[in-house]
Amino acid sequence: MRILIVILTLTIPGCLFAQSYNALLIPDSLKKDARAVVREDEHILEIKSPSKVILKEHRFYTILNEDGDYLGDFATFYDKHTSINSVTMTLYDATGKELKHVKKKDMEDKSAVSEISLMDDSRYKEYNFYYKLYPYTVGYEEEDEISGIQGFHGWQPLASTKVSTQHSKYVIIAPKDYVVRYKAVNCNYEPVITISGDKKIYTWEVSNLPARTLESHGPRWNEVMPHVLMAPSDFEVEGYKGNMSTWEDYGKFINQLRQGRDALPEDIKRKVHELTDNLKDPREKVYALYDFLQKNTHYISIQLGIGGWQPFPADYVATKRYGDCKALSNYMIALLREAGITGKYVEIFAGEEAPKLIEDFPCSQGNHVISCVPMGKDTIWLECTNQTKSPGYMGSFTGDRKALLIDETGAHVVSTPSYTARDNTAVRVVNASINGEGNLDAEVSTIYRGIPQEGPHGLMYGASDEQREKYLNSLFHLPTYKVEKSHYDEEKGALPAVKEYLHVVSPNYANITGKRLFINPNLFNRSNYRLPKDSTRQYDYIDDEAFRNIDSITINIPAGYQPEAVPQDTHIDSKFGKFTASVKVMPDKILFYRSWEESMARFPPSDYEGLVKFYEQLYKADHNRIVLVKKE
Amino acid sequence: MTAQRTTTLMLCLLLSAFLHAQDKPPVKFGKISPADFDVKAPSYDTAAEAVVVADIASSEFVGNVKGWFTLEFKHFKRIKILNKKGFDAATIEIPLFGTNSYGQRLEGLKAYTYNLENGKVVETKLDDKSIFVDKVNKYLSQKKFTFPALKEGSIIEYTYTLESDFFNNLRPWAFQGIYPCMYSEYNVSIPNFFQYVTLTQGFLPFKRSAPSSRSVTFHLTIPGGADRDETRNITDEVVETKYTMKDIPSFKAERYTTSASNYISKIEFQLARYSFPNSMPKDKMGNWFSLCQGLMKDEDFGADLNSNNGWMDDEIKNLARGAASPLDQAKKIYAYVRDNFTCTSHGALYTSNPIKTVFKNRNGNEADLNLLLVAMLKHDHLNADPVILSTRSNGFTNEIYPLISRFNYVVVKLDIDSSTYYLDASQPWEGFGHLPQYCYNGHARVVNPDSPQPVYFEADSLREKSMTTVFFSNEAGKGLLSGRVVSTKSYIESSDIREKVRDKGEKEFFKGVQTAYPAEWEISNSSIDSLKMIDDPVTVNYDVKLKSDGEDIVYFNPMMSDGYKENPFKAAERVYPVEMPCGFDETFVLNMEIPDGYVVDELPKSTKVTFNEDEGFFEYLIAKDDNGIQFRSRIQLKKANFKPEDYGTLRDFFAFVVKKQSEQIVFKKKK
Repeated sequence: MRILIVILTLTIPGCLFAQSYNALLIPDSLKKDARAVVREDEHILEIKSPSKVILKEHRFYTILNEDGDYLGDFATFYDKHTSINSVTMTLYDATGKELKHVKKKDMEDKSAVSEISLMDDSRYKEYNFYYKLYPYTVGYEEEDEISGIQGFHGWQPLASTKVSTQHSKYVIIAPKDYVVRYKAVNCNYEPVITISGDKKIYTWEVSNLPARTLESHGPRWNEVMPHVLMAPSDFEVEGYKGNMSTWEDYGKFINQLRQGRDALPEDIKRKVHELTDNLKDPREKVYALYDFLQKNTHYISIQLGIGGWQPFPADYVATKRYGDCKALSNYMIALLREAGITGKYVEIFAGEEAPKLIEDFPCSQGNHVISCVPMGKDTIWLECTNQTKSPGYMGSFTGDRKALLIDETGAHVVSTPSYTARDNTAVRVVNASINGEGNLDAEVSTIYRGIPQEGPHGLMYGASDEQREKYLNSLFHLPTYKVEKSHYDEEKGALPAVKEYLHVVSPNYANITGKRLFINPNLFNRSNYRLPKDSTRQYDYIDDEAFRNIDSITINIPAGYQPEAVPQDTHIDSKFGKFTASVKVMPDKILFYRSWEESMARFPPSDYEGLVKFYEQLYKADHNRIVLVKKE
Repeated sequence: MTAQRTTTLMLCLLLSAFLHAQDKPPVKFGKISPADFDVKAPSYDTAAEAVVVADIASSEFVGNVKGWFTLEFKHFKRIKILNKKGFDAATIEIPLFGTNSYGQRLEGLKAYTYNLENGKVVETKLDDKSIFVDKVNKYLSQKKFTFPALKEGSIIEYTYTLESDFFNNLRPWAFQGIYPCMYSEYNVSIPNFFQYVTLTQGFLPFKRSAPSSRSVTFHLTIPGGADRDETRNITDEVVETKYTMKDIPSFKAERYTTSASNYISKIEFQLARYSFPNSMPKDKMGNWFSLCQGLMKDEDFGADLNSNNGWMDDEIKNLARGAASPLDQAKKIYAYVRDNFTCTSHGALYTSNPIKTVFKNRNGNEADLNLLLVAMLKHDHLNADPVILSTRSNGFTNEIYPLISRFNYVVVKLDIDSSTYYLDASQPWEGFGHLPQYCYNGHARVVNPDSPQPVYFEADSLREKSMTTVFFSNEAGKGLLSGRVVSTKSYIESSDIREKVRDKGEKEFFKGVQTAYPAEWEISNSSIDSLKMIDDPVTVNYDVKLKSDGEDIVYFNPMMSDGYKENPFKAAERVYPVEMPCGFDETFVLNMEIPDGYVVDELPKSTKVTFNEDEGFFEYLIAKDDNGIQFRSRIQLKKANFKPEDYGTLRDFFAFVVKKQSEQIVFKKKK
């Protein structure tokens, strides 16, 4: 028996070595549609206490082609709460022979201060083998010590699109009485739980997952791929203790971080009263204070340690006149309180591509903070980092999503305003004329409302005159043109609008060939969107925009022409959208009307062909030309 | 002491006569009155979001405790923030290069924001806690801060001293920046020990004061180690020169400009030599011969090139086997390095490892790979030399002064028989004898100590040729209009296509070709030739067919999906020269049978226009006979670089091309 054990320990390493990293032994099923294979991914999280975690990672990737090279470029991040105890990287050739071994000191140490921040404390170590003979294998071994838990990375056995997984394992070792929280998504993976002394060990494991891909306009990774969310129960950061098992407790923790941070300096208090005491309507007071905030502060992000969670105090913002989203929202709430109005602190995922709040799994979610003022049935939403946004308007940045409203009673899931096709409109009226040389002169008036208003709003406030001019002069698909004049007006409100006036001249807009004049009457709003045919669509097609566009165009034409070819009107009213394009040629002018309305929708793969056809019809209608011929 | 003060005073008196005629700093650090808030956007930059009221600096030498000199750069800048869009001007980042023991250090940073409140100036000081140091990597730190209490109309100002151990290049000075500047001044004081060459560039003129000199004693402390430190005093004449510029508009980038840094008004100083009493002068700049000698001896450049390099024998033998000629051998060696090695970083003049290590690791920066290529070619008894250059984004090199700091890239010159080839093996998609476009940036230098000749890589010399031919025939059952397109792309286009196909696949590439056609056209039977033969251009082939219901009138653009649909020169005006990547020669030929049952009702007219007489032309030739239509469109531009004065002509030229190429042939059904 004893001899047997010795032999085993002697041979196993060699044996494992050959089996593990020899790329030739990867089953074909894992190579199909794959750029790389996760040979081994082991993630061991040892919770020592609510404020200390040891994380051990052990990962081997075989890279099959250059598309998978990114997995050979390794970067590991650290910050005030995370220190890297050790990290090594090894490169193996196709047969599994070790070619190179790299230690922590060989890796480059770089700053990872994010582009939007003035300062934060994140850094990373990086190394890239730049190997090129495929297949090759890279291995990473790392141990991190995390002081101050804020959350856990979940288990994602499939690393990315076009990457298969041979074996993936996730282990949590926790004190026996520590509540480990997890939730399987798109799968039913359950841990094997064992007890060893005073520790409880949770192990998830899976083998042989083939590579998968996503599709454009399809669901996102987390919506379809198997993964397990993990989160702490009790946790502690820089002396602040909390528990995130329920939204109530999580909210109380965040509230605790804000305690005593809302005191305003005397001069600001006086200012608040000066601005609001004479106003009766609490709404007016909110608007006045929001205006004060916008005029007197701007966004500067500084995130150090717990500062990623805890706002700078209100008096800091008052003197510096800047802060990040947390600090500015906290300051806004302090201003409101001074005027006797209750404002709330709201954590949210910002951005158009933001992930959705997972309501039934309390943990730290979101990447942004806003504030709001509940007013009976209504709520005034306030984006405090933007100096020009209308009060109440959330738009594409924070609108139409679930968020966490935080107060002394905890965190509460709330919904921000959504914007439908009725709200998101662009109504354009064009008065144009085309002369005998084909030159176009057009006066274009457009009213944008809701989300379509955001672009012109940015041009009004965010862009310099020069940038605006440059932008406008590269915006349209006209052969050669110039925007001679541009003018913008804004109508503020919970559904803001921007009125745009443009004077555009475009030499040779209409093609002249001999006696004929070719005119595309759709001057400024052509859909260039065409979906490629795809007979193997697997996932739903998601249309995540809702809007309504109306263009009414009058084009005066030179005398002496008569129509030779006039495109047929297009009317589509289908589940994919409503579209109309109609043209009328009169002796001295052309009238063109186009409207397009889309709502947010989700179409099954069986509808894909219909969508291709729908966009093809639009494309054609938008690119149709009128042919006029000179009367003889 | 008294004597010296007298001298200084006298000098000052003398100077003031000069200075009187000179520009004077309009403001002083810390001196702010309500009237200073009157600054508006200047007439030469009415859209300005912030205005630099004063940007004033000086550079001078001081003795240090390492027995040598430190350069002291003192900088003061005042900015008026005109509106919110100008808030970005209030976040300052000062890069510091070097390590703790040798490099740049920042001292005495002071910053204030001033606001006018109820007619009174209120100042807010930047607190030390709000100054951050971001250690970007081993050699670069960034001091960062943002001004507190900022609002529209604020005045911000800051001052600091930057001490530097690097004085090969004395701190350069850019007069022009992204905000307009009312007054820019740079005072440079250089002791006669050091001789610098001054280089200037830009479209705006600056003033230079008459140099003034004074005698200065430098205190150099020589560290004694265990013994006592020794102090040496050296006295020398120090020459001060003041450079000023007023009313400077902001620099605005334009399309078709290779590098903004080539046009900003700027002044630079390069150390040529230094000489101390009782010692031989030390030449720091040398000449092209000494520079090339130095590089070839440098371990981080050419030291390995002339070694025996016996370790590459086997590989060279392998590669040379079966090669028909020296050129064939060279091509094999080139392809070997290009295809088996990965380029790991960009903009490298010096090697990161000995070439033997590079050979073993199979990766390296451009210098590593291209110098390995030189070594391998030399080892095979071929005549190869490194060529150093500066890529377009790095600005121009100076052909008079051998300023190595201006160079950032190495390629290879190969001479076989009487032909010269330039090679770059660091880019996986570059063909033999081709350089990436970014190398075409004028003067470059062959690193050959015996003959360090200049080479000029001019975009004007690049002529990208492409040829598309289309045949339409009336085959039964093939519909109204159907034919085959064969398009041989230019070298640059070929690289683009290879990259697209590599990233997305051939299928996806042809989806793009299809969508360039109007909806009623369909393409099929597509293929690409020479995709893998990197030295050759690719040829794209496909069938094309019009889906038609036999309309009475058919409108047909003979340019098909080719041709310019929009003018590449959109902006109406131009300040700086136009720099396109290359000259070009694009030909499109179409031969077609007139569709059965139709007659030609209208045909575009043939025409030819020239660009600046002989610098280019556009021709559009179309003819019809009983059998069919012959059509040819050709655009040739023999140059890539154009003066701003030529911009209007260039824009009109392309406007004409766009107009002409959109014309239609009209077919009518026979009655």
